[in-house]
Amino acid sequence: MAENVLLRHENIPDIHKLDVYLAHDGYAAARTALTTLKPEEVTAQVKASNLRGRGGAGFAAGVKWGFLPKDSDKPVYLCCNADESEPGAFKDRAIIEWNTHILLEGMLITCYAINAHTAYIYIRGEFAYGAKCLEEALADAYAKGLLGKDIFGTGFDLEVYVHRGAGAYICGEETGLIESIEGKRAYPRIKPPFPAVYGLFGCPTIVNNVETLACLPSVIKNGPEWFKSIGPESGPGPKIYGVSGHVEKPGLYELPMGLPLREVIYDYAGGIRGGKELKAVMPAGSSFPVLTPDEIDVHMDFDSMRAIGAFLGTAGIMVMDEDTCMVRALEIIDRFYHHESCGQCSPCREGTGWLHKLLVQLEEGNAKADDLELIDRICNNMMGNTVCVLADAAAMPTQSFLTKFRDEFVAHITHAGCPLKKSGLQSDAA
Amino acid sequence: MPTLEIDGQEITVEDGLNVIQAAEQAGIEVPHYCYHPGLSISGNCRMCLVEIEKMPKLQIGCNTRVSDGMVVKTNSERAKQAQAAVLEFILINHPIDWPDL
Repeated sequence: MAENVLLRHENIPDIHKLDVYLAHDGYAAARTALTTLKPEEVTAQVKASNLRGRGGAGFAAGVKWGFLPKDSDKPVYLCCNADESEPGAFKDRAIIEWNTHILLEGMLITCYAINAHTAYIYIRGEFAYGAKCLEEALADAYAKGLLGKDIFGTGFDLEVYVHRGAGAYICGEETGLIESIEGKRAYPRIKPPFPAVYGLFGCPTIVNNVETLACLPSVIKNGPEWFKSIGPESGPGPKIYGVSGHVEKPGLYELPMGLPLREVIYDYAGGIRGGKELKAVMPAGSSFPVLTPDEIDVHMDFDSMRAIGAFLGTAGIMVMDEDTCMVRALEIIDRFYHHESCGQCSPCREGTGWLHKLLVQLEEGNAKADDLELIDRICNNMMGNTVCVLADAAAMPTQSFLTKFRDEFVAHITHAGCPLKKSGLQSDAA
Repeated sequence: MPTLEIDGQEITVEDGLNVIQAAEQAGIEVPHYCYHPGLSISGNCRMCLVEIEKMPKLQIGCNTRVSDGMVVKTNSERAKQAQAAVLEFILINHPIDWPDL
């Protein structure tokens, strides 16, 4: 791609400012949609583009919109999921802070397509600067008549509110997010009913990720065929890969969907730092299975990843080199899930804590011989048996670490602790 | 008036019942803690997990409304194993401080 779509600030400085954005075709796609297309035609274009949700699940955006009831007299809401709480993911933050108006334009297009007149941006509390960016961009857009009453003289009204979270991971789960906007504790809801039928304040609601919404202006501007030409047809489009961990050049890279993971790590992120060997990659944030070095030729798109038992998730790629203790890494991951479990379901509340406790014992050298089987059994009992997928998000990486790096886990039992730490390679500092 | 099968028994029950209520009418007890007929469905103790044909995941009996032709297994190996696992999760950090009954 010649010019970035999502990380356009790399080509055009100050694109987050409204006058700069407008000078570069800003809000042209929204104008096209509102003044020349019917809402159904916008939805049809998005469906035709095969845009799949960038929040992790990869559900087709146009299809999701299609689940809204046609005969409801209740208002429809759009919630933009800007909670970005997945460890290893930092892509939405870039859009919010550096390319703010593309998100607002995407929301305007979506609201027009789904006939919503009120939209919320649920932004995680830690993004204080991001919330400020959004508030400023909203004020500018309202002043120019791009939001508010009678947008582009079409009679279409839209009010957008920024709602700041208070730091819970579970608020990124769409029904937890909805509960949180309603002012309640973010306990995920039992599904069905799905938000499209019974969402915010009991009304039909669409929850879309920041990156998904930011793709929409380009779909309308360049057409679905253009969008589909970027990467695999079943899940195409520009994609932000966030690479972190033991690489020479960690950061965000906007590239086509479906690049080989090896290319992202070695050609773009500069390879493993200090010329070390690669040991493991978590390609999708912390909630999904880990990959070994012989699996990194996989293409980074939803279907190719699923074919090898992995996920694309948020494409927050965490790279670990040869000096990483996989037991310690997993202990840190499971500490996170224990801390962030909302606590409503027994298997998740108890299981995440149990897993973490066992991993601490492994790392400290107090594990028993059959603890690995116990960890595996706990994971099996957690998966699929809870209201939301947080239990699965803890169990999936745990089982994959255990399966793919079993020797290292066994060594922690036979050496009564971490062999790497004893040889001085691994320090206590995480 | 849906007719369904619970653990091999065919039973016809009134509309709007959940699996726990329908099983009760068939004389089958589905274990449950957070469910109470006088309260809204909370669905989070996960004790009443049962197997329902054509559904890949186990379902909670309290939040599953019975329908015509449904085939429910409350005592299949998979359901029993899941119920035992949930009880283990509930007890693992429990002070076991309940009064003797």
